[in-house]
Amino acid sequence: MRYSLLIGFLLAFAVQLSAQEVVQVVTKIIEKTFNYQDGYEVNVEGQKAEIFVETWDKREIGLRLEISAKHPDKATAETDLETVNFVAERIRNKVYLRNYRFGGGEQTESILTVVYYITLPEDCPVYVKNYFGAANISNLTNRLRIFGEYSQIDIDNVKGLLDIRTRFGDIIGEKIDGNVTINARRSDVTLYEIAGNYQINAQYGILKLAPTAGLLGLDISAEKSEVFLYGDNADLFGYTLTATHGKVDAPDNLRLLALEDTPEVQKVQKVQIKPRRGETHPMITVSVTFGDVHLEKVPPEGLQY
Amino acid sequence: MLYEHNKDKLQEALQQMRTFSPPDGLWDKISEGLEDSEEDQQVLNDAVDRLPAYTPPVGVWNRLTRVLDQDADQRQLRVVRRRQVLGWAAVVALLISATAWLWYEPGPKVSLQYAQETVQEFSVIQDWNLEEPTFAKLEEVLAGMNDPAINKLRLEYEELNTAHQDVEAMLVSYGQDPQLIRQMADIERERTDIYRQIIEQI
Repeated sequence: MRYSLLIGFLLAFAVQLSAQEVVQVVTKIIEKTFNYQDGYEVNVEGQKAEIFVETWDKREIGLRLEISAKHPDKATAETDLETVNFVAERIRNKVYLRNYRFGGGEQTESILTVVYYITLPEDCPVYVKNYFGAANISNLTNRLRIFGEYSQIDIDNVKGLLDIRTRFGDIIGEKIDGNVTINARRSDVTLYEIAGNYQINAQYGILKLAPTAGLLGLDISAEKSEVFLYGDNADLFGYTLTATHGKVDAPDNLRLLALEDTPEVQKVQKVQIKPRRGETHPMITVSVTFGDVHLEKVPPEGLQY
Repeated sequence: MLYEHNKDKLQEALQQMRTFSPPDGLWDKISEGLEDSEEDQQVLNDAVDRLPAYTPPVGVWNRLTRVLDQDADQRQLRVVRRRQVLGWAAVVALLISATAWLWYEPGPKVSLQYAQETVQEFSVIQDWNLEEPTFAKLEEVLAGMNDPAINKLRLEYEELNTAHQDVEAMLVSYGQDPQLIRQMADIERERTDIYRQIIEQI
């Protein structure tokens, strides 16, 4: 019995091994450095690219672009690699970084991947447009604009003016402070430790936001979405939460003032929560249609992404 | 190159010409005549002594000195200016070269790297359009309807249909990437969900 089990296990392992395949990975590495001056902007247009934007103390913009082709046959990988083109040039005060595939309509035999590593001064304005792939951006302080389609967006420790538009691409952010505008469609938005002013429009997504004491205002307008607000301190903000064709959930320690509650007629639940102290306080306004609003305490195990 | 046609005749003619010699002592006489005698020198000295002497007005020397000084100043000024121009030109040239050196952006450095990876199964092309006939039937049904609630779902369905096509195009263009396959699976799940909602409402 024991031997038959061992033989069975070895056979399964052998089958597993036989299904494995060795592929050749050919990578083209493009490296370039641009001098940086005030007023310059980095403009990235990625196609199925993973884009990493980080900062450094140098007055330079550094680029390392890796374009890879994977295929069991090396020659095929090399041929397919040549179909991915790139642009890395400065025209006046704009640094353009771009990749695209020649003959995009033709089936490639290899798996093609593109990765940008961009390092720049923290005050350099950045515009990222990505079609599929992902964008990881951190430590910027000036202006950041992102237009993503089917591309996940990760932002960490970013200050200043942020304008993010996304379709079919989730946004995950932490330590964001500034004037922030987000338009998200079919995308989940998770933002923790946020400060500054926020204007968020969302359709078909789950929104999770955890404000800090530095929040100056938060205005969410959402449709067919769930909104989760996390916060323990009831004295920091005033809330106006409206759910049309949905409901508002709030912890018991907060005093709710029902402004409108007509679940049977207009299917609207609108509540207001005022801090117990102080006349002026930042306002959090949430309006959801076909979705619920949840005001919750931070769970003991911490916030999850 | 010049060529003498009748060289022999010319030489013959030259030989036939008469020769003349100067009389004896001619050269000595000329030499004696050129040397100054003491008498001649004396006459010359006397004549110079008799010449009248004129003293120029004081202003002439002053003016002359001033003109000479001015000329020297101008020449000095010209030298200084030339030096300044050369100096500035050197500074400008230095600045231009420094700026050019600072702002010189060399072209991208391109290199190739080769590696190997072991994968479970490479690029299995999946047919994502197996359910298309079912969706096509639904579209036919929807074409004959105009209900606001259904139309809303129809818009969602169309949006997901476009997304399906976008991901499919990307799978063609960039290959069977696992991330793209996951995205396609998510979109198909949502599209099927909308299909179910529409069917329930029809």
